[in-house]
Amino acid sequence: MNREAMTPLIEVVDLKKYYPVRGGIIPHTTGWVRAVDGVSFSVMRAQTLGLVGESGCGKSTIGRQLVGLESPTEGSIFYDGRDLAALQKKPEEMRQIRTKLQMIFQDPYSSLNPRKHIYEILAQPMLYHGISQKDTVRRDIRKLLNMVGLPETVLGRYPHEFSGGQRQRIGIAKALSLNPEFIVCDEPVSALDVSIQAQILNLLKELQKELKLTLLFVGHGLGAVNYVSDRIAVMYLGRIVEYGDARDIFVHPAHPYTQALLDAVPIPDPGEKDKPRRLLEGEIGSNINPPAGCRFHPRCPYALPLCRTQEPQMQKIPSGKTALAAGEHYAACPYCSNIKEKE
Amino acid sequence: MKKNRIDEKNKKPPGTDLAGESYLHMVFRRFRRHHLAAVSLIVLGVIVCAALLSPVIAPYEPNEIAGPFAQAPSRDFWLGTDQIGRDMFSRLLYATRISLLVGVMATAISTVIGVLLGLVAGYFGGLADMIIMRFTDMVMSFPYILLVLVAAAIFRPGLWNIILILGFVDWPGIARLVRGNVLGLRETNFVKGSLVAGMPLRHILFSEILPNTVAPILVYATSVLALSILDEAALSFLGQGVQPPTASLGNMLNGAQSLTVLTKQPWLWLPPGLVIVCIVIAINFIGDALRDALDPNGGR
Amino acid sequence: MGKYILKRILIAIPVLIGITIIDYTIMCMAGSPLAMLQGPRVSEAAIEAKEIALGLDKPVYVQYFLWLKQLLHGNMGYSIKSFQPVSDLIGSHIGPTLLLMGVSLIASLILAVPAGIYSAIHQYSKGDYTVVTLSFLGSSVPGFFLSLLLIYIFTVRLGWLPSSGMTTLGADGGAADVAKHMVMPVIVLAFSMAGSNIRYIRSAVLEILQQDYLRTAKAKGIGHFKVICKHALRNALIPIITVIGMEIPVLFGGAVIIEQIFSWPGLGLMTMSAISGRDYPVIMGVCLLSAVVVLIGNLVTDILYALADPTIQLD
Repeated sequence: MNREAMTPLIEVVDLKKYYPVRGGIIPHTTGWVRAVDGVSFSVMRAQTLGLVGESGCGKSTIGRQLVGLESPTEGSIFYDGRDLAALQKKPEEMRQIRTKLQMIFQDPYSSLNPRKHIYEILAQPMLYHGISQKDTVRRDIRKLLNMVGLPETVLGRYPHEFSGGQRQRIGIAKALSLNPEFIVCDEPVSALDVSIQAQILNLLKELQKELKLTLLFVGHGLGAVNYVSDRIAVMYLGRIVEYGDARDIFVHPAHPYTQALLDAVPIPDPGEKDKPRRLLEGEIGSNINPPAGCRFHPRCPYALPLCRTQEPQMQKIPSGKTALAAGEHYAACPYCSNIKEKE
Repeated sequence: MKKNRIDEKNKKPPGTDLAGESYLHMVFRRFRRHHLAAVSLIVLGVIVCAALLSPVIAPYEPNEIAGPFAQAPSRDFWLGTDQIGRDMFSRLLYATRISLLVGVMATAISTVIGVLLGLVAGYFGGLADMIIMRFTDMVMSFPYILLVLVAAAIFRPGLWNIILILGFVDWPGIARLVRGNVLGLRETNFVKGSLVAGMPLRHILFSEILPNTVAPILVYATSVLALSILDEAALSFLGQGVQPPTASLGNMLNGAQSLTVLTKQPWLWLPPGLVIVCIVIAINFIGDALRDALDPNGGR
Repeated sequence: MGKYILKRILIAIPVLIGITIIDYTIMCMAGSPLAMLQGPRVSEAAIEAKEIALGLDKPVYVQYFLWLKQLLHGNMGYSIKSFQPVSDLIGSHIGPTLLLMGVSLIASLILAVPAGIYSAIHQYSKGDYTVVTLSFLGSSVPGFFLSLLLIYIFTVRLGWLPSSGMTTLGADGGAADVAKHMVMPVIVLAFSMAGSNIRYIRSAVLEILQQDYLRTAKAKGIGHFKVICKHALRNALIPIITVIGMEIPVLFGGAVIIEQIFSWPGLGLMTMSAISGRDYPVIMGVCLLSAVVVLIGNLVTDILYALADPTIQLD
């Protein structure tokens, strides 16, 4: 991997998103759902960061905040060094930056307007933002379709005439149409048939290389995320618990939660079927009243009394412990080194 | 309810539907299955044409005293004459035109108001939604006819006032319908996608959201049209609607409140009543067939 | 449950206040009722004296609050025409209206519930088409036109039924006499209500009939009739409740026209004369009363709904 030109395109600093819980006879806020509770990371230019976790851990919320669908409760998002919150006051600049941050949605069935044919879906934003002119838009769209592997004949047809995989290709074309630098892929394959998933993942990977795109790939299966990502951040209950090089994390997971996630990935090798697996028990905790101390402690097989009270900080995993650690590798578990030894 | 009918009659394996068939074509095909609605469309078409062409068709001017008083139908006066000798057939044609005008205009006004308020309430939510919906509740709490009557009494009855009053009273149903649809559409990925693409608000409201809620609005509007025509007739019948000498289907029936007309001159009140019934029932049948044909969950 | 009811009532209160404000605004836009008194024989001074006596010289919002304060004391004001208390006027006219509305509602349900269920069970049969077509006819015929037809047939031609009033003048009256006077208005109201109700109940029952649990019951071999009686009917209660809730405002409105035609001495007739006489306090009182009834009707519907359908979320 090319490590010289590594500068962050996206930087997220202490991001929080709380949703009010309303109730009572006279509706008022009775509590907060801490969907995202203090998350920091950066996405390097022309790289892919994978964001993994169980549903409800806040990973999709982060994605929506990055593209401006939701505003952070606290914390900042920097795009190319510029604070997005500060840009809200400059609508013209904001409009231009908006087009640079795009999104691919999870459900390809609802991401295309059923009343518009594909030409309209693709052409309208391009014309509005002046990316294409009336006389060149058809040519530009043809180029886009070519990139995502669709024939030109799709233009006059409506979304319901396509399969899930084809729709997702259209969704990708739509995201690419505004020449973005950064794309949030919000579980782009989890609604698709398994046979189609690999095609779409490969397409994304190719496009990323070819167009030098920066991607945030949100997913819940470590397998798919690992396949497309350069780096991975593992989330649990609104926090990042482990962050580092994709291969590093996949081969040498440090945090007990990551280990459990990895063990949940089926191994297509009958010889390994007797290998001990640490499968998670219990449910993901409530993010209205997250557990005190380490949020993972109720489900952690190694939890110590201290874990119930003290909140662990991110710390660097010493490279000696992880043989392949070429890059940085952090985990929010002070005992992960001990855990290794116990095994 | 109607979707079952189609499912049963037209079972196709899933996936074979629609390929290559345009939306309008499908709607048309599903509509045609309703024979009563097809007949209604023809009947309504004839009535509307006759009303539009009334200056050409009508043998006399509507307000012209053309013959003897209160004469029974004859060769000269197909539907007889009224108490002051005006030709009933000519009056009926012009009255139909007025009644249709009131119905269409009132429906147009209430649809525009309802769609705008519903869009705002559904899309922005929060305080705007609360205020609009409470206001809708208020208007809906008034017994409809009572509200119209009070308004008609206050704003001096007359053609345009009746149109405005009916238009300003009929919107809450449409507003609620649109709001409900917008609440769902607002969360769809294609609307979110448009937001991410930085599209302006007017594009999102009118190009992304509105086209997806046109079908239920259209169906609802047909029932509003039927209701408006009925209400105009009721108001004019009570003397609070369109004022004579302008003829409307309702005020032509007004005379039947007198016992002589009711008992001795049925040609003065039966034809306008029957025309109202024909128009309204045709609209209702068409609306029902449209509901079925436009049902997104229905079989294709 | 109690919490839910309380919440619904709290939502209804601002609506109610809003209703009185809208109502009052409309009334004020209508202009002064004294305009009707003006004429060569009434002196300026007399009008002024009357204005002060009626409180019409004060600003609109003060008049509104005065009226509201009176209302909270149970005083709905006095009629400008007859100087009777509005509450007395309403009280003396509400009986006939309630009688007419109640009987019509029951009659329409007796007509609509079996017809709707029959139609749903025998979907696509000739009987179903007939019922549905007739129901469209019911909601398409203007009530006043149907009244005229009925009067023409039963009063003018056949001479069977009286066409106006509630009792025969001079006669002793009695229940039979009132019933005879009621036949035609009830037919008109019930017929027009039954139209939409039949279709509503039909579609609701159809929806119930294709639920999985009913298919299971059928698959278990429970007879068709038994399935419908035991399982479907209990669930069909919900649409019937809805129908009753929907009809309350319709009844109030319909009563105005029908009472006018049949000279039924109820609230509708009183309202019509108040409207033509611009008797604001009376119109205001009737509007308020009917709005309150409609609000309560909606509230009761919602609550019954929640009771009948345990799956409805109460939040």
